[in-house]
Amino acid sequence: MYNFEIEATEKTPGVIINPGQQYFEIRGNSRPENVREFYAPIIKKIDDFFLTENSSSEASSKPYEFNFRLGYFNSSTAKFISDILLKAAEYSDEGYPIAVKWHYEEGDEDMKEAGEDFSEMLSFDFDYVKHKRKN
Amino acid sequence: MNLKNKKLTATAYHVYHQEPLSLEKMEILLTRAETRLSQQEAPPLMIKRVFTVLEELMGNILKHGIQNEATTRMPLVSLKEEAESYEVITGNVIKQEEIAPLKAHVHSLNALDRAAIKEKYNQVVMSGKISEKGGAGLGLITIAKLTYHKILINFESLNDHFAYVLLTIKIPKQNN
Repeated sequence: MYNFEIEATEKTPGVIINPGQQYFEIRGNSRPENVREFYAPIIKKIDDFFLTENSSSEASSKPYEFNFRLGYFNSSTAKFISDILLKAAEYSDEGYPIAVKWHYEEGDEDMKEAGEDFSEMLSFDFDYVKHKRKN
Repeated sequence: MNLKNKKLTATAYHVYHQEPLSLEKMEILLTRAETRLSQQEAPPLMIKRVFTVLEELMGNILKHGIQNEATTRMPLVSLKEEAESYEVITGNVIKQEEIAPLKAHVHSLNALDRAAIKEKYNQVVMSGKISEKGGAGLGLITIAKLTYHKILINFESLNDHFAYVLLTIKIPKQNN
């Protein structure tokens, strides 16, 4: 499966799905005009990737990393983030080693809390990564 | 609140808009709010909260507000700073039959404490669907979760079919 990348814009996040590295990242701001149109292909790519994987293969001992590096997301986006995280939790239940890293800027307690809320909703532990605020 | 007597002037406002609202105009207003608050050295977290409230409410106006020749009242978007909070007021025309469900939604949120709002948010995020208009039904819940304040809602009947709804949100400068 090929790498999948979307460049970030002011209103839509950058996305990286790198199957070779077992790496997923979503970065930036998310308030797309058509949220479904933006996120549906991303969720499909994640599903496609896991369809070709084998949870018991040797390579799968390395965690599949889901990185959320969001600066801002609106309420419609929240629904799709939860869908992506739900996928991650489901694949974890199927035996894939999944690590969710929730990044937030120093002082942005709302973003950290958003991650904690998702984690609580899914009963799935996240790693929280605090970054220094960019000036 | 008597809407007819509530005269709003542009002078004390970071943002004041009472014209048709479009996606492009919404971006201009969001940028203006962000710029004004940054110039005043408001904390980044506060700027983001104000941005969230404005974006969610203007998004609702674009999705649900009625802006056509059948209605004469223009959408309203305002942001002003008070001693202990920022106040966002939005207004837009809706159908008369939409008043009761909107009022019930706001009143049900206002009746919840913070833990219950969070629970409600989690429940809607997990079970809610994205509507044809692109909304997740989370806008006002997100605002309630973020601001710790009750949402003030007022209506003015325009005729048998339409009413004007005003939403007032206070965003406290300090968390309670």
